[in-house]
Amino acid sequence: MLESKAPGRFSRRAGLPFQRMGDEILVVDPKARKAHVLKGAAVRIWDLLEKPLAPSDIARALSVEFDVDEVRARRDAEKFLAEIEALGLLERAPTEA
Amino acid sequence: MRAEPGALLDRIQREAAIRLVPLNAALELTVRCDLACAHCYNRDRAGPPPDPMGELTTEEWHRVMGELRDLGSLFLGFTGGEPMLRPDFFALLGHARDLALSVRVLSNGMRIDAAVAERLARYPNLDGVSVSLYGASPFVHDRITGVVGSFERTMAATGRLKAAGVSVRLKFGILRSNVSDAAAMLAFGRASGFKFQADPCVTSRHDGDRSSLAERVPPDALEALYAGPLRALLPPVPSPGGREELMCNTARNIVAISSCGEVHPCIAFPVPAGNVRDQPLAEIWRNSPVLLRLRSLARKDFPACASCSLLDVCRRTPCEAFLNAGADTAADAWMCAEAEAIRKATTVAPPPSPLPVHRTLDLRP
Repeated sequence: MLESKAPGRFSRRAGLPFQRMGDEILVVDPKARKAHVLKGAAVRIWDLLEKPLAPSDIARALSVEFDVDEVRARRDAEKFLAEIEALGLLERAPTEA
Repeated sequence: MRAEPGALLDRIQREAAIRLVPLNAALELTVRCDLACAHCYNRDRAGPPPDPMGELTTEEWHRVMGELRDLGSLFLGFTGGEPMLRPDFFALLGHARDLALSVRVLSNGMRIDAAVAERLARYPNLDGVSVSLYGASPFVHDRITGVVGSFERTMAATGRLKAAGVSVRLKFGILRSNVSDAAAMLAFGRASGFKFQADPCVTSRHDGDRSSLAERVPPDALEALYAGPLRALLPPVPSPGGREELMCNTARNIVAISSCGEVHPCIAFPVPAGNVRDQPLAEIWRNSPVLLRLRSLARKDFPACASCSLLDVCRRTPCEAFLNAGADTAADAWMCAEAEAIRKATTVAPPPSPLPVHRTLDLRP
């Protein structure tokens, strides 16, 4: 689980270009010469990541908005965060003292 | 979530064109330039330099970029003139970064020293720098740019950008003055390791001057050009059944803002649809009669081209037709000669290419 390995808060990588197109979000990573499309709940998570959030914060929001139990929402959020962190689309906020 | 970037971006571009989202925006930061290219589409560089006071200010460009963001733009092109002549160039690049907008810079490289290259590399939203070249040697390039030493400076810039980790794309302009060197230019492009493209398109200037057209490759030289150096760059098979559309995506997923704030259908199409100093950009984009007309054009509106047997190989664009033939729906004799040359070249197999070719003839914004 992402949070248990490295507790912290996450946000979109600063300066990464993206744009909404209909119900999708296109994220481009010029340095990596890659493009990614986000759909469904991933779009909402990307919106939430405008400011640093912990996976538990995201899970709470998804649980309410998508009417799913918080355990499942957290599992899905952690999986997604791990995936986009591996793609270099996220940055970790400094851990609060 | 992932797909091949090319296929994914093609799909997004198609969707943007259908939804009328200006995903691609060219920002002409200035028409000033430190070169004086014979074929420049901006203006006759032999005349007095343009007044920078008419240019949009830093704050105005910031506002325009915000409006573009709200309209759905993602891919900006900073162009000119030479965009890096603006003292606020990095402030504008930084503002685009803050708005999560991708930027490709179209530059002659004359001002890119090691420090500038390293500074550019620090912008996560920089897609890269496209650099124009008009020869494979100083003798040819400098004669066209009118500036001795420009080839060396431009090439040095590409090396510095590469060393700093900035993506570089070479843009070879094929002209009357360098057509005999086209093979050398393409070989130079392959050897450089950069992505590159080549284009023989030349238009009359946006200030109405037509002397740039003297630099168009003579029609009788097009056949040898396309059968020879440019053959490897053509699509492998012309699309069967002809071109469905005679319009490109101008005014659909493309928009351009001139240095003084005029909104144009694309950077090469200098018909003002409005001015961002007078109206919100969204209002111009949605309601301008100029843009609405372009979007409404159908095959029947191109009587000279609609039933042409060369359409499947024709590279006509409405802006080129507008500038060179007087109407965006017209046929231009030079473009017809080019299509004939491409037809002849594509009826025989291309010569083997010694190295992979990365470019297309498309002018992707």
